[in-house]
Amino acid sequence: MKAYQQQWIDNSFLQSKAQDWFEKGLLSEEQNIEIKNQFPLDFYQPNPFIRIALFLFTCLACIFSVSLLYLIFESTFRESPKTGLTILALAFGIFSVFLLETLITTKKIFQSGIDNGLLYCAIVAFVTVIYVQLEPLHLPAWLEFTFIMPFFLVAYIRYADVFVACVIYFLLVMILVDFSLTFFIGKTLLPFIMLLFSLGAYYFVEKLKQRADYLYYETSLDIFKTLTLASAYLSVNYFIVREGNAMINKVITSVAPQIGLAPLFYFFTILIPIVYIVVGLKKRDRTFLTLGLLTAGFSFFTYRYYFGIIPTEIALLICGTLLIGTASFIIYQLKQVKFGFTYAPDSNYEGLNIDTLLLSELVNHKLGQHNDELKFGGGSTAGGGAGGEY
Amino acid sequence: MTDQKVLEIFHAKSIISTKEVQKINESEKSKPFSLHYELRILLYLGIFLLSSGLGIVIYQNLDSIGHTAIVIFISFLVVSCFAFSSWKKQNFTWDAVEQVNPFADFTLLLGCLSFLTLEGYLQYQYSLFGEKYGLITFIPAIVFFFSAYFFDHRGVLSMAITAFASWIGVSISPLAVFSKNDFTAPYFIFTSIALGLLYMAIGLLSEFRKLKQHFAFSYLLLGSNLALIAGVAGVFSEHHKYLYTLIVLAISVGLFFYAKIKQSYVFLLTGIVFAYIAITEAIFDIFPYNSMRAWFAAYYFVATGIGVIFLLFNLKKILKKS
Repeated sequence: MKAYQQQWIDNSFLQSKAQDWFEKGLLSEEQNIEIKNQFPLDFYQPNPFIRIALFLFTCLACIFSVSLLYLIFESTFRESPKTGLTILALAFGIFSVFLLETLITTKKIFQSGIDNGLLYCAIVAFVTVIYVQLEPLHLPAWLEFTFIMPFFLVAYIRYADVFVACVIYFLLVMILVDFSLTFFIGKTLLPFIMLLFSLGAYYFVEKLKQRADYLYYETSLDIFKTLTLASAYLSVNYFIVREGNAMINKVITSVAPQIGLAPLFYFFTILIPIVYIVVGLKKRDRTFLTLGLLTAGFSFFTYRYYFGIIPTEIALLICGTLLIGTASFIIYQLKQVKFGFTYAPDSNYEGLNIDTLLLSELVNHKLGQHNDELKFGGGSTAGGGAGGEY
Repeated sequence: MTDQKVLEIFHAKSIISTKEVQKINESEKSKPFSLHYELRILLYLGIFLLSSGLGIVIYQNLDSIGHTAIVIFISFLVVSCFAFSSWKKQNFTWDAVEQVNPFADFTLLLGCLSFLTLEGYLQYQYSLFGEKYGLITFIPAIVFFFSAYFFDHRGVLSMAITAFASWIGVSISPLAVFSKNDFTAPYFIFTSIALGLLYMAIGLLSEFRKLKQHFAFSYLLLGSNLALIAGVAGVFSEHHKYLYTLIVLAISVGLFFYAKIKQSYVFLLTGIVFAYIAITEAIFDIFPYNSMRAWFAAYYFVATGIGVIFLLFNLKKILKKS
């Protein structure tokens, strides 16, 4: 069933736990080394940046092997393009899977960039085959998505790939939305159908986490969890429902018309972020907490989009001050551990070092603006308004 | 797998004693939940929103508030931010300084951003620097470089790097390198490469002379990115193609060895990708335009793609031998 050995994943989990405890001084160095020896990492998984490079060059080689095959069989293609494409894609897909399996068993590659690249290429090839076959039937979109679904499911169960997991969830949502839109009642109840689906999916994912081989799917199940929570919020967010409703019914006005049950959607839009944040803090669950903050931001945007009475700049000032005030206050309070929370960073939870790039981007923008204004705008008041839009 | 299970496994292999199992269990139970990154992001966001809002409000209410009041207000903000950071500052050393006060970082950042606003406003309203536009970018660069080293702040350092590049006339920030720079202009490629190399040299100097070693990453990342992109633009241009190919290759090889010494693989990735692009362009430039070109391209990319994969896959062995 599974392409990679469960042992690899288990051992790497045990090692990371041991490393964590070692860094906190709970294990001695000898114990850590002993654990590393007892549970060796017997597979190939390089540094993330090398993985990116491997992935890029695998895709490059795959794409050009297809074009090489095309050049070789060019004359056949000219005669019957459809059969030619089917055979080419099928041959390429089978070859990719064969290569992938061989490399996993002989070279022990595990999420190394090479296997990800080969897997995606194989899936694209097989989906192309199905699509070419289905095209003349003119099936509705949801049925086409249903037909290609099995490939992704098989690939997911076997390789537990994170990207494949995302695609599966998006396909499921697309199938459901497209199917619901074929009925009048489905159209009306779409937000609730999506909400129920998201909640159902959430509980299904939580159930899956109790399986014995949970570790094999850990990362991808976390992704699923994030997606279900996000889609639960988005399906009943007031902005999405109102604009979506206008789009489905093809109403073209500058402002989308008001929707039925509006108070209910206001309620959801306000409630869900709060629930996420509270659950996140209570259960010490970072997924909930992060999504809570993000959805709170989106709810705020929703509010301003329809009911923005105060002008943008004042809203910016108020929000900025409030954010700085609240965050500063909490940071100040959490210098010492309180209620089981702390401001001290987790040693095993390292943020990306991207503030270098972000700040560089920000300053470049600001300076560029000054220059443009001064060199070309002269002293005209019209040029001044741009000053704050970074 | 729960911590309990992990401990059972370690215990079964008799690596840890029962006592240690208890100790770890207790520590895990009492472990506080860190809100470090969440709070930091909220604070950053707050600073960003506040300084954006401030910019707009000031320009909109010029008439009613009065220029002097605005200048006084922003100056006050700048001075108080810098004052707070100086008050909480640790003693200067050439090593990384452990920040004790969690806010000193942010006030410095807010101070530096407000300084930019103040300066832009003064020039806009009073033409403080007259026609000497260079000063508008040069002064922040000096202030930021000084603050970055004095207060030991990596974020301000990257702001300084950007401001200085802007004074030279080059956009160095990763997105703007592509969109804002005009690599077809004469001498521009040369200037960019020279500046990129200068930054890389400073980066290497801080790394190996141990002068704020943790600053090396910012210098090297932004510098090498600029130099390589400018170099590749040169490879695709009409003049001195092969000279630029050689420059790109030389920088890539340099990054490769740096990555090997420092185990910093982001430089390995950039080096390999840019070197590959430069070599490929040079080879296709030589190859004549005829019916064989498509065949050659297909064979070339398949062969070199597999070649690079093989090289990376055996990287450890190759590095060990040399």
